Amino acid sequence: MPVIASLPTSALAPEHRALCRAAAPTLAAAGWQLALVDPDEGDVAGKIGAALQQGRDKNCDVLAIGAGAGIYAAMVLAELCSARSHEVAIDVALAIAPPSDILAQHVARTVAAGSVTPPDQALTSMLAAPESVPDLMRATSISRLVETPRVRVHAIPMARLKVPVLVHLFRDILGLKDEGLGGNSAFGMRDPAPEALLRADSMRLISIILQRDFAVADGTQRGLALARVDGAECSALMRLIRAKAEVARRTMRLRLPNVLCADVDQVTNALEGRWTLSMNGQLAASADHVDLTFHDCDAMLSVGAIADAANSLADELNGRTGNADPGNVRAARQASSLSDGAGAQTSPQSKLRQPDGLPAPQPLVAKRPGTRPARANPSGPEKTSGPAHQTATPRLLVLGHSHIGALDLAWAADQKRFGNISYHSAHLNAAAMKPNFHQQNRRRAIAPDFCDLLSQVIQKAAPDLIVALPMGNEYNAAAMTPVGPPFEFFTPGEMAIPTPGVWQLSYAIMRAQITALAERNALLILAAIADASACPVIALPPPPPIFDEAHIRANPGRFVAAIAESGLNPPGLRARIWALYVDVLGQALAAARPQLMPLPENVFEVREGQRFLAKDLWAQDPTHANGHYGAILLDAIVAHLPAKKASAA
Amino acid sequence: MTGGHPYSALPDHCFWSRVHRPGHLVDPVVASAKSDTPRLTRDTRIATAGSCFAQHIARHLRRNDHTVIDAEPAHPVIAPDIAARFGHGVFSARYGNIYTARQLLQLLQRATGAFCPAEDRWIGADGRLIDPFRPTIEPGGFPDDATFEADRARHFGAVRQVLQTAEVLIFTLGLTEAWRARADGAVYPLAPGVAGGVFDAARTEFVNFTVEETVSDFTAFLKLARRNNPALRVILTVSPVPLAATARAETHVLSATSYSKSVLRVAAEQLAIADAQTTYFPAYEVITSAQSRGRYFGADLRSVERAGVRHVMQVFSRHFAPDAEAATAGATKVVRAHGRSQSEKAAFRAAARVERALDTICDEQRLDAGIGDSEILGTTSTHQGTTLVENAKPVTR
Repeated sequence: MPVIASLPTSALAPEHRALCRAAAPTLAAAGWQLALVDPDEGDVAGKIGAALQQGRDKNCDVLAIGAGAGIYAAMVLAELCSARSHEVAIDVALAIAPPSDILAQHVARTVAAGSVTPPDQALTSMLAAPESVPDLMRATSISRLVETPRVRVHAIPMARLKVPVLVHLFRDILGLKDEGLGGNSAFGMRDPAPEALLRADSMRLISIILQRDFAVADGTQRGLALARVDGAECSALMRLIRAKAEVARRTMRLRLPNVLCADVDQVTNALEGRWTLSMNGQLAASADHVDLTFHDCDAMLSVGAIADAANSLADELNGRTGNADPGNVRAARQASSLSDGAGAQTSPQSKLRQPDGLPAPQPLVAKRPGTRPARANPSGPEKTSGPAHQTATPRLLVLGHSHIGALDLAWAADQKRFGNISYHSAHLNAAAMKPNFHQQNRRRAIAPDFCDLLSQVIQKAAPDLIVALPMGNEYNAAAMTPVGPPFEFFTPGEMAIPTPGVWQLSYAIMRAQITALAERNALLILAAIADASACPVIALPPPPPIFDEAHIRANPGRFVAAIAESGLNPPGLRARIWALYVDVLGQALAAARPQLMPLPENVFEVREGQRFLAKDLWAQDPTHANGHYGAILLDAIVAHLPAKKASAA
Repeated sequence: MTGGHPYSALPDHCFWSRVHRPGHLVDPVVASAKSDTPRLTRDTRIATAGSCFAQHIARHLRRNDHTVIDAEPAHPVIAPDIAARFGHGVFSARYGNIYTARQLLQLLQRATGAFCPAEDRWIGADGRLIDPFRPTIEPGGFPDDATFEADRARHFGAVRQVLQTAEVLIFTLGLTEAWRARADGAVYPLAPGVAGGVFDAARTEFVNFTVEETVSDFTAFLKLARRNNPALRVILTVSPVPLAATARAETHVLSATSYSKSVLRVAAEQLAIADAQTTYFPAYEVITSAQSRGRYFGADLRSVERAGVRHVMQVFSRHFAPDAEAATAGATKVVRAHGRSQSEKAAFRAAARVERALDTICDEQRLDAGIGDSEILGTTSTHQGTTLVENAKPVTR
């Protein structure tokens, strides 16, 4: 039986609970179980964990969803529960979560005013006529999209809700363009917020982080804590702040019918802490509706502004004068919005005092989500000739798909470990970078737009060294789960006895298969990266496979259906295919500019004569390695970074 | 006797002027030519063998969901194009191109132990082994004797299986010119030195088979095959593909082609007349006749274009597999919907499934647990240097 673990929070929690409960009978009738998790009742983590475990025990799908979106999980799933993909449902729920706050507020207000729109009736009417409700638009049209096979849904804490998720969902899944979202909502990075808001939001964010992650409960303690944090903690704090600021940059415009919004203040109060209403002339009323522009509280925060606020707070607590004058804040925001890397090293942002001395962020691809930048060179991508940033700090650019996450984690966890380097990474499977490939003359080729974007990323990162790890899971097309009858193959010279009853494949045909796989994926991208830059490029193999079948089954990820259907290939076969894949890459790159860097020996463990990923380097995932693995690789990579003279600055 | 002459009562297909009408598909098959023309249903077990043109026939039949025997399929993990490079799925077994009737006969003799050629493997400079009788099915060759012999034994078993279980054998005669071992007459599909081995005139000689030899060889083959499969029927075709080269220095390749195809065509005719269970299918005429105006040949004037194959197979389906004719007419659609063998379909499904998974695994990493404090705030795959491109696709489609 599927389980929904809903986590209603904020002032709207009672209404959320009411609506979730209203949806519960419908969900239950369809075989769902609604597990309400209310932070006011304590032990949220335990309850979510219990819900997840309940789902696992019953081999069912689990939906654990974050603050504010729980209501919509219930609503949408109530609508869709007769079938289909929970995943779409959860994403839709997330996507339309912000307006749910408004709707919930509306429900609460009407109930409180005695006009008696019971939550269950409100839910019913909303689902019946979603187009009548701002930003719940076309919820019913979601039904037609829910055709994908039922898949397992993972917990998505609200902190990981990123704007591109919404954009992606709206544009790609719902098939709607930004302009087509019912005419009452738009997401984008635009319209700088007033500086007062920046500061207020910065302080609020710092408060949240200190409270949640540093267990600092009240304002006094908050200031003291910030003042006393040492460098390492402060660095961690700043990383968290910066990451938080980076993930949420959006503006929401709503056109609310007056019938829903008799009192704007009531709505804005309801949104306090999450959305900030911009009052700079963007509030417009007409006879039947009100136009509101909301900024995500985190959206307008530049790292400079946050740093400034933090510094100001720390100085204040230490009896010093803060340096967060408006001019600095303004300069920081201007610097953070640069889309052109030129001159970034001299931006005013560098003057801001940041506790850990981290480099200021420079969005290298600053564009509205879902849009393509104009091609810089219609005839093809330019090959960058060298670093545009002449700094003394060696610049490392990591390009790849999911496996570069391990490097990101390593860098995020402990930057000082890697010395004085500047780390940048770009995920090539990001929505903005897709598609990576297209068909050209019936052959798979790199998409021209991808070439352009790649070139832009490299040009703006101005790396001294590129590390590339593209398509690291492609070998699992053959390795992870059985395809057809059991088979095995052996490496030439290997003294292995064929298993009776198991299909014996020649090494040659397996090599041809794996070569063809790499040639239409990783090798294409590696060649594109090499073509786009003149700087040194190192290719990395994917991490070796995980030996332990129990671990994979416990963390099957997207292989859950395949594993359930077909099981897992034996570890030895998975290891042989991985080794073959790495050998194919090595041979293909032997004469090419991207050189394949062998994995350090300490990432391996040998089991049954084959090499696997060492146990302490496993991620909670069937194929990926964790940040410790990334750290080991970064240690090895840093050795390849060319030293730079300080005078270069 | 009044009026008329011997041609007066003949049907239209006997007259050149009446079979060539603009807009009409040339169809040289005469339905009544043989009363027991085989009728292929989708359940008829069909074996295919022959020259490279036979590959087109096999491929077409598979795409139309005919039961083409595949006794040596590739494992589904191997993509069809890779499998084909290793000789899987090209014909009913992994014997590669069989150009001459003698080669076909000797294949069955070898598979049944009746013939053991003295020179049964070629050793390359790298020590790897090439099968002289199917030199291209294992690119690079076999690594050692044990592997070679195991694969050959498996192959022989497959050949026996094909010929014992087939209801209809479609065989395309390709060449008359061949090379054979002086010692025991073993015929190679390719001259030693072309795709393995070393040519030694003292050990290998050229042969250009005659009509009589071709008829005799094929008849012997049939006799041997029908020992265990008396009901085996045969559809013979002659490859319209010209000789790539002739070994006869005194002869122009055009003349050599004409001669070779003439021999094969006569042999096919004689075989069809002699054996009630053997039928000739005029693919050669469809492609090479004046009515096609040469348009079925590619730029090299040798390769048969897809349109030619389509024409051939439309005629084939009309007469031998009428149930499949409609499917053939909508070939494109059929190919997409049903155009793969079982192993191809399995491989396709597997690849598609995994590709979907790959696409989403990448995103899952971002959503899944990581390490350190950054995880708490969900910054697992963010970084502290620069936001280059935001990660943004947590959805499977």
